[in-house]
Amino acid sequence: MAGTNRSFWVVAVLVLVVAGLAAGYGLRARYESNRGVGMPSSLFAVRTGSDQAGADIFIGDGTAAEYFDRVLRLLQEEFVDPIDDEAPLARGALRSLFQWLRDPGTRYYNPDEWSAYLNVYEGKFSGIGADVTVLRGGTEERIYLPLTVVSVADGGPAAEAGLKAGDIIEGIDGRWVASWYLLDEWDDANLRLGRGEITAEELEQIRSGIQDRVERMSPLSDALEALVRESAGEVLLRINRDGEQSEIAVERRPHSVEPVEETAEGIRIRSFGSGAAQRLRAALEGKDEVTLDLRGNPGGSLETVERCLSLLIPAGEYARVQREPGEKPAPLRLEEGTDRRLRIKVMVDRGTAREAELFVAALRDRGGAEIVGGRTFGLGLKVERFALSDGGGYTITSGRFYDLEGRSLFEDRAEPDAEGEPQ
Amino acid sequence: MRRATRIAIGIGILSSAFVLGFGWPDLAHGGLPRLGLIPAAVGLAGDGDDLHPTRAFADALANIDAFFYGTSDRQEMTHEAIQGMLRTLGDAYTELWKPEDARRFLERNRGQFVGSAGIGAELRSDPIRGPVVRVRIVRVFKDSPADESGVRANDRIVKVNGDDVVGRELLEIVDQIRGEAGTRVELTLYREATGETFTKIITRRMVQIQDVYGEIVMGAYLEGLPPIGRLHVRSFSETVPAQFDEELAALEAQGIRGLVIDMRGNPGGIMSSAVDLCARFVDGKLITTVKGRRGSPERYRARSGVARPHSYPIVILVDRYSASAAEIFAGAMQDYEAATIVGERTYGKAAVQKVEKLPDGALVKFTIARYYLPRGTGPLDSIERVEDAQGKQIGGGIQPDIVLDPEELMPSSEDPDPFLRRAVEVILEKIGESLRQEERAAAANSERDALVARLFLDSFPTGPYICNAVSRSAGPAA
Repeated sequence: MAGTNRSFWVVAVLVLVVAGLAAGYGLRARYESNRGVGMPSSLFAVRTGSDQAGADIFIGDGTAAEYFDRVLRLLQEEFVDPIDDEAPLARGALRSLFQWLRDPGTRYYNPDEWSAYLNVYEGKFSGIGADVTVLRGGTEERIYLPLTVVSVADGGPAAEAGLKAGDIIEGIDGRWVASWYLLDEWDDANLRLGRGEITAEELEQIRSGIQDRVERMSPLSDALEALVRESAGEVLLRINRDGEQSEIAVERRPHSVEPVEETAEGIRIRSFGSGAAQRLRAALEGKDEVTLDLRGNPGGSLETVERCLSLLIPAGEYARVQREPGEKPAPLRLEEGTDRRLRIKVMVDRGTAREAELFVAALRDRGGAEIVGGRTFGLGLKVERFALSDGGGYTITSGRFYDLEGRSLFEDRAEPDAEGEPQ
Repeated sequence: MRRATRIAIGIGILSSAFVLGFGWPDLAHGGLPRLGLIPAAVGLAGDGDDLHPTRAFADALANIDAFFYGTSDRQEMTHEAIQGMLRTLGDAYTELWKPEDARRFLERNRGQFVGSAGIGAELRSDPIRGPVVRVRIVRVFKDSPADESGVRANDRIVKVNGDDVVGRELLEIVDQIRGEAGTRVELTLYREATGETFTKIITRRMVQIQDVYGEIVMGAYLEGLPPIGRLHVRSFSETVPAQFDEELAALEAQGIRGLVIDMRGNPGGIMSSAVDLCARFVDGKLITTVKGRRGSPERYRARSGVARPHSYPIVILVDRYSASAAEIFAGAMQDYEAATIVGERTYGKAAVQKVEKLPDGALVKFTIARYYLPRGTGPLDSIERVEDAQGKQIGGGIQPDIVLDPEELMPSSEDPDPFLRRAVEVILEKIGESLRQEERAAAANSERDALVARLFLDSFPTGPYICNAVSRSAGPAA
């Protein structure tokens, strides 16, 4: 009896050990494999469209995601210092990925930058109280990415200091804002030396000409941080306004404006944020003649723009969007509209930008509006906005807006190549 | 036993086994079980607000693919994203090499050509202007096709296969000269010394890149003095120890009375090559300790039984570009007083990288460990470079026994290589000493020979470690 009893216990203990090991190891294995590719997307998109997670994008024998994941796993397993937090790796990857496209509407924002970016459209500013963006100029070979003021918030520090839409910010607090152009100029000079086209002395001249700017250069992301995020102290900006250079000291502090407000001149629409359409509806109540002031309006969401338009113009095609270069622009339509015939006058300036330009073009083409003011900014890009789970986000340019006459609302500051690109 | 006790023991066994099973991947790597992962594994705690790099990347790529106005290159974007991810680690030696750069790196490190053969010469483009042909042959590798055809250093390249190459890019010319083994290339060369232009037809073959050059030091200041040898070790490829032995034997046959091992500009290379080189001078001793993230530190010892008995003093010449494997060699030789170190403070690279190949031929190189010299193994003993905000070195590296200042020792036509001159002077001083102590040295040598015979211990492991990151590499070879 005692013998049977003992072997029962031995078997029982063995079963427990094996079961425990198997359960533990199995759970771990499942956890590890789930950490890689193939998990449900962590991205809740402002606009969704594809959450196949790049499954069909190939590099070498596998997908781009597998390729990337392989490097990530190598780091997780073998990098000399343990990696406890992977989020910074993700942010670094996104930052580089989007920078590579060098496109004025395509950009990655870390959580702080993203909330500052979205807040602008709600009339809430930090930093110098202006919408500042990175444009693209220069040529295909020599790209220049000027940090440019798009619009200035009413009554904010930038407005007080006299900063204007279109001003290029070349330097901040004695440091130069990074420009690919400078680095390319230097590389180019070295290449020409290699080909024997210039002498070492000439190279030295070029070097001393740009040395100061190259040595005291601050990356674009740092510059943006200093302008739109930091909310204390003063910054000294080196400005280029249509070729004239000057220095302006600007204070930094939080600043709010009312996105839509009735003023003595009419209805001021400062941006197309979340509540804009409702406020516009209230402001239009009982009017058959209206002046809409869109000076300094940096844009906002396309949905809000359409909701505002449906209060002012009839349903149907109001503008067009070109989705790929060279393609025929496709119609943009309003599902709902109004048959009320309003007499509309619109005030614009150089600071009227992005979706605001689309709004103005539609009012002119479909609402017979009279437009007062100069040229608008010329940043009529259709932009998709994606929010990330950590509070950051990114924007991707998905098209260029055209008015019903077929004119582009985007002014291409990049010069075409020598061969010329189809417009 | 009571029933409750039995159940408790059962639960205990089950849970211990579970912990062991769950933590097995960590234990296998020498770490503690990461039990903190259990809640996430059973789904109690998700990844929360975390951004998973691969998912974030894949989503972004898919979104760009679906929406972006304009063209994009997925492969380029993937490389770019990986580079951005690697940069966040703040490690200067962790980087991605795109396929093209990767191919060049591999060619150098294997000490031979991959996929294409050449004539066995190193080329350089001189930064001068005018009617001069700028691309010249800097070195002709020993016993190479170029060597056999009578091509010499300083010959300038005028034509390749009848094609005028004056003013062309260096790498373009290199590509033209290289080709499949067995095929022929016709070079038109200009020799400045004689003023003649001539044509050579050379048959390409796989050639060994020579990293070690031996010569008897020449110079006006050495007239009438005993011969002193110089071994220039340009980088540490796998074949360096063998090349070193061959070159040193040739110098010893000429009766050298002192040896300068020139490590100037040597950016490192394969760590095992440096450790093996030390074995020529220090027998069986600890050369370096490598500490990675997991497991216990690995100690690399010099092999026993290959030490070369010698009676001449050795000076190791270093400069600010001597790095990595070159620092291991110089540092260990200094610690065991096997040589006098002369020159500038070295670069200070104490990190070991591993290189992994990716499916498209790109290479990812990342730091997996740090190394320590025999003198110390604590975190503060690392020779890792310390820089100020301007990138100027303020610490780390190897401090030479005799420090030379390049500002004071400018080369001139009478004194073309002042660092080498100083190294030779140090040797001459030492010969003066050792002449007096010759008997004692001889006694010590025979004692050591006996020790070599006793310690027949080969504890030297080989690993895939490569330490090479300083951007100052040698010129391309063809």
